[in-house]
Amino acid sequence: MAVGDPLLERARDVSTMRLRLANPDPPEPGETIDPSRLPATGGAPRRFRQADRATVLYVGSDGRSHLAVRRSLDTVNSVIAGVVEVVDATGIGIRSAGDGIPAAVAWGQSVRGPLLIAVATPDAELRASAIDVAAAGSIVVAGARVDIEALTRARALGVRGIICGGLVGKELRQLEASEERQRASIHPIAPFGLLLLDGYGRRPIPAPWWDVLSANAGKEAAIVTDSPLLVLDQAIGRLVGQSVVRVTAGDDLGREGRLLDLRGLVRVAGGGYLPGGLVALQGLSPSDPPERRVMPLTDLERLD
Amino acid sequence: MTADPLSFFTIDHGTASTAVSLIAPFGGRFRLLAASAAPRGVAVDALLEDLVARVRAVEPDALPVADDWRSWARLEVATAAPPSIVIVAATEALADDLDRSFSAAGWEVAATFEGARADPLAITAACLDRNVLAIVLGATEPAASGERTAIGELAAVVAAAACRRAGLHTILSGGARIFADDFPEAQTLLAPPPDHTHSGTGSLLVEMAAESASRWTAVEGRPIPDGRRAFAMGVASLSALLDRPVDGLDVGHSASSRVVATPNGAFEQIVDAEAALVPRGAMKDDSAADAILRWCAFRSEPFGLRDRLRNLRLAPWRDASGDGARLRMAALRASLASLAVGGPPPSGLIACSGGVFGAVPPPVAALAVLDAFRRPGVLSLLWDHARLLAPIGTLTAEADRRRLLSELLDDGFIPMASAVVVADLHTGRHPATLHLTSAVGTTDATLEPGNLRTMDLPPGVTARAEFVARDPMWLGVRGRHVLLDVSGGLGGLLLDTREVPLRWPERPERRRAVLEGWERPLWAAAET
Repeated sequence: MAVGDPLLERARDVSTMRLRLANPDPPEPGETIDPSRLPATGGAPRRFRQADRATVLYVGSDGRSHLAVRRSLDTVNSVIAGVVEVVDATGIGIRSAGDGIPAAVAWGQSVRGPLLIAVATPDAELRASAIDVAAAGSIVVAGARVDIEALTRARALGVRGIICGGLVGKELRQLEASEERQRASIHPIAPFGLLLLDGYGRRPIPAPWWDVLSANAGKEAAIVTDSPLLVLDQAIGRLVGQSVVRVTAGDDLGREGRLLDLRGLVRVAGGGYLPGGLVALQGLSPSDPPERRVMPLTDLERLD
Repeated sequence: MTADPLSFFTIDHGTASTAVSLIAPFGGRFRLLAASAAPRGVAVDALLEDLVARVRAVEPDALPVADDWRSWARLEVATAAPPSIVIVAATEALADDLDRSFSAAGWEVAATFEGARADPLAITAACLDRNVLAIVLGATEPAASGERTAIGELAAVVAAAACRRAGLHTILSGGARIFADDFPEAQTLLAPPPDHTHSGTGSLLVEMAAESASRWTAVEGRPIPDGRRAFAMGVASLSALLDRPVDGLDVGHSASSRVVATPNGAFEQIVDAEAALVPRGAMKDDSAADAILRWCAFRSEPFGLRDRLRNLRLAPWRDASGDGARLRMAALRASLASLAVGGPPPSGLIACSGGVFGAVPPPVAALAVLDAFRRPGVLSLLWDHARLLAPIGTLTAEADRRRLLSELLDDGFIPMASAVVVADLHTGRHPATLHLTSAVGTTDATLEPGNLRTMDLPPGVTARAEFVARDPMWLGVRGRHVLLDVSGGLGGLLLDTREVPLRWPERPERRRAVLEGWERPLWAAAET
């Protein structure tokens, strides 16, 4: 299976119907039947079209077959190259080689396109006005957060996908509602995928991933939504030194530093005790000296 | 045979964190020498090595053959994310019963369909979802006349879906068992109908469903005992050891469970995925997230709170200080409230387990338990801080479990607090009084209805509480003059004259103010 090869057909309009098949042998569940070739002897509520596809759901106790009739079919192409390992009623499994960046949340469809870095820093926010037609067909790296206006504009302009550190849940709900409305119209919808690398809310893209994304700007990448993953054919990134950590919560969210020592249990706001460590955080600007601070280990993420 | 056969580790692989402890003979009995917890995914051997190193650094003689720690025995349990099930039933009432039974057995109900009008396309799609492990088809036995047509058609739909998907287990309950011939034999289980007299594992169907969940999710190759089942065994042994009924509460990342055990060794368990700290449903459903946030005692922008709550599910160990701890308190309250629904009133002793109890100060966690499980009288709350109950529950011999628990009772179970809940006090009547006498002093208090106050009573100290009133009050027993023995805890003695059960204001802001009023003194005490 190569990138872009047809993988499956997805119907935008699915309905059920019940009929008695001419063939005396009962059909198998899951069997695909071309309804236009079959005599409908009872209760056909709709006229079949040549392009319709019908799959047997089950044969009822009265001997009639219940079919799922699929209309308005879209072809879904593969976003990754690989070997098809599993094809069954639950889905298709493809084994692929490459480098993957795991994400916290994915939404939409799996998509592929060149990476476009649309923000200057991993903690910047992508504004709607920053997206133009040049981004069409690409996967846009959008920094710490993207708002619903920017998402709507990106879809309208043909952007394939958005990668960001986080997204406010309310805006994801709005995006879902918009998707529902478009689906109800039965018109073809351009595939669009969204990948949140670090969770909900405003969250900077983790620095190592930012470096990888920046180094691979312009190269093809794929957003895979099940399970959430960004797949690169061959990732180019930085090597992280030992004991380098990233702050994952609190006021210093997204800052990097070096874990110098363990400090045992430390008392934290709220009265709890958490295992702590002494961290030398990088200055807020390159000219600032490192800041030494004791922080809960639970709010640190090792990068090596 | 190891060089030091008596030292061993306990390991509890949770879905969010891994808890480990080192237990060894010391001073003539087994002692808990060190315990730790880390996010799931951290190498277990690194945690165990750290435990050994910590003990050696403090008391080198405690572990004479510590170099061989890798060969020491390990009591290990693991909990898995609840498996998903689709429920198809002939009637709505039966679907509700099956939903309750399978939810109580630790299944996550992905979808429910009932009656002749159920959409076969939706049923097939639900069955072919690869996240779904099983489907249950239920009918009353014998099927009522109105059900017969519906169940026949539903059985045909389900059988067709089951034939299309290898690995999908089918459970035929009650009257649906007559359709067994239509299903693949190897993947089909015949089960009794739901039982209305038991809500937990006392029901045959719940017991069978729980056993199936455990068996079908077991990892091949190196099976590790199921932590939730083992927790129930541990609580039952604790109850037998103490010769008193014990409630066990295990609040987890993917599911929570409640065990009601009696001294004769009998127990009933409910495992509920909807009572998880942040249930899966709350990740997409705003109303489910808001149902948890109704328990939040601090004011914040609601959309931001939902995001923080969902991040708590994604990365449960992050952001645990400050408002993060208060958010965990809200999630703990919601989880406990969900566990308490429909269950029996609590016994006088509750053993609490789960990582969240370590994320909020013990007195505050005690309040969450007290508010969810209310009963007039004395309530003692223990915290299984090293998560020992489940690993000990894996020991096959009851005598071994009791012996180990008896020797580890002081080390492994921290008294969170004791509470005295006084009911039937009324405004305007002559106030009742409390005279508390203990080794640390004597305290007198007047009992006003609707109050919650904390009295200083350290862990390990017992006291005699003398309640006097002109009108009878309800303290588990009704009387005007009641003497009770109480024991101390990290949160001291909580004196609670609020309603049983609590009534919550409808308006969210008023409700938040009530919660904040009760929690504020406890948070303040914990932060000083």
